[in-house]
Amino acid sequence: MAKLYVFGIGGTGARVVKSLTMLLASGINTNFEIVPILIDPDRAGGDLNRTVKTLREYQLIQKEVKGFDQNHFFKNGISTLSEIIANSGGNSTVIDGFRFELDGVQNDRYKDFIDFANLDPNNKWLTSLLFSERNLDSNLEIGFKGNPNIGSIVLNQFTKSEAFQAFADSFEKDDRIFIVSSIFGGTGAAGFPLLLKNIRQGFVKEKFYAHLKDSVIGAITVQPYFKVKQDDESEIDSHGFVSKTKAALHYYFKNVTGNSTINALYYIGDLAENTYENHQGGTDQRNDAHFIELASAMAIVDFANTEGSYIQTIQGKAENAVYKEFGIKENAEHITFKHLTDASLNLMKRNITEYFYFNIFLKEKLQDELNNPYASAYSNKIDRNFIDQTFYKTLADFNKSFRIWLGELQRNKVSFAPFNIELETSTNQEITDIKITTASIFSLVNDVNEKKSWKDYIPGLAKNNYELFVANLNKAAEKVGNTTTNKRFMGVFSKASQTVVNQKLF
Amino acid sequence: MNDLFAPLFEFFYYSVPFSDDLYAEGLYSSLGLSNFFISLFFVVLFYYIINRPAFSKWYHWLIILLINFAVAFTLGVVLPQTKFVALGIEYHSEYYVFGLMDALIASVFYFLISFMIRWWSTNAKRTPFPH
Repeated sequence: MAKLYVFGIGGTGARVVKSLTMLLASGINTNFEIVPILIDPDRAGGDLNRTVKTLREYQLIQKEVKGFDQNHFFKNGISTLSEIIANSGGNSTVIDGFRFELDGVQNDRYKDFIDFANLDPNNKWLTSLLFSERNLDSNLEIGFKGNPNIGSIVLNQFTKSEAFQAFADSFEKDDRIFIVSSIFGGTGAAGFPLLLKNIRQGFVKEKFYAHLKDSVIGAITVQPYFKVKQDDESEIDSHGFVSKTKAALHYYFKNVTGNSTINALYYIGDLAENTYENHQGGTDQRNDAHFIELASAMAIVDFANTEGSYIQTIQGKAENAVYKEFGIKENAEHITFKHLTDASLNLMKRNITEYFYFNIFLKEKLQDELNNPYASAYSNKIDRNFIDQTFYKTLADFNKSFRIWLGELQRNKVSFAPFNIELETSTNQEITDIKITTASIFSLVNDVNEKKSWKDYIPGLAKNNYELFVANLNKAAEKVGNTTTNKRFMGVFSKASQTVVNQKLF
Repeated sequence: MNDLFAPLFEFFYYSVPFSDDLYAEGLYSSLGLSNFFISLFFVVLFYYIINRPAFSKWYHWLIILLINFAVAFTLGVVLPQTKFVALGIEYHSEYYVFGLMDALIASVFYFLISFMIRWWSTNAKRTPFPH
């Protein structure tokens, strides 16, 4: 299968990749093996670590159900670069775990990184002209804190790294590349054009890669969609976001879109009405998931689904480049499915709803419903022993991340609230889970009415709520038959969730 | 048919001359067949018509069994009584003891048919207890 290398640069890149992972878990298929490559100097970044954890859990689950046609959740493969290399028999020593270290940024100030002390006087003057004293003293370990002028210098060394060479070695003819970055920060704004330029040159460590030069490359450049609180101690100041965006767009006009290096460029942004805590980096940089990130993840799927004949590269030049902007039907404080365009709905409405119901059932009901035939009437039983095993525990962890992700999307501004859920929060206001407060589970999709049949009008005749779900699980179990417990579990729930959503909602 | 069911009924209850009269009037045949078909009806009702998760516990199965029992008991009392009264034969407690035995036989049918056909039920294949 062809591969889609997704470069997630900086905190936004990591959060978009997390949203992509959630979409893939819900059953969206790109027909590409996804290879996330997260580039962020901020090793301790909260968002980065959450994304990596989610990706690892996804992989563990996906490995168990790979090639099993009766299941549609976790269908799309996700691999690390090192796995790709190992599978193709390569001998690179790159061990990535999705994220890539940038050499020389650990415990280093920027002035040490560029060896400022040993520059000759003229270069010192030039450097002082380009970088402020604060820039030069900046600690690189927690990222570039909104300074693309630093980011572009430091990230340049990634393209000379062994990891980048391993990427180039593993890149094959039909593979594609997608780059996710924000335009208003430090890491992403600097990293995107730099990465693009290096890929298009086709040279990595003086070795030429024709497939790389003629590769099909897509990118999303995320414009400001949040602000950070004013903090005189912090180097990050959101007042500069718009001017940085303008400057970067001007640069892209000449060096990205203007020179035919990109095949598909997606633009997205929002009014930036929400204000995050001003954390320059580290474990505290852990922002709520945002609808913009979900929409950006949809751009990756859209890019993957675009037929190769529409986006071609000849002699290193993108032919008929595609430029797209994301939009919704109408502005709303709380976006629900009714506000999305048909293209967005077709892409994710059904999948995300099916996964939501699967998730809610597991959280609320599974432990009480283990005596039903779907669980206990087959030789590979779904029982307490199964629940105690690693596969289910991993799935439960992933599902919790999915629920928190949904909760964060709902709490953020703009709010994406397709489901009627309530949030559970810790004392420091972090979302710890979601809960549902209605007994009627098919009223949980906002702005979507439950479908009724004639049976619903005769008291006691229709199966409702979880009973309908269990009935569909029992029916699905008959179709799935006997296979390994993990496969059977996913197959049964995937089929039943699909049927329930068909019967009662869409 | 009368000869087929007679040993079954008389295994549970045999009282002279009541049982001989039942045999002579061919009632074993009609009661045996009605027990079978009533039990079949209730089993099909439970496993295939109701067939829902919320009504698939052992005690739901037992409720239907008790209804089956009550219907069989009523038939076991009413059918012989109607026949013998018409013939001018007089019995008293025999009707009720026989009715109980008839209901017991219907319960055995219900039990056996349940285990024969329950696997194909979507929601109650493990009711009243696992295989």
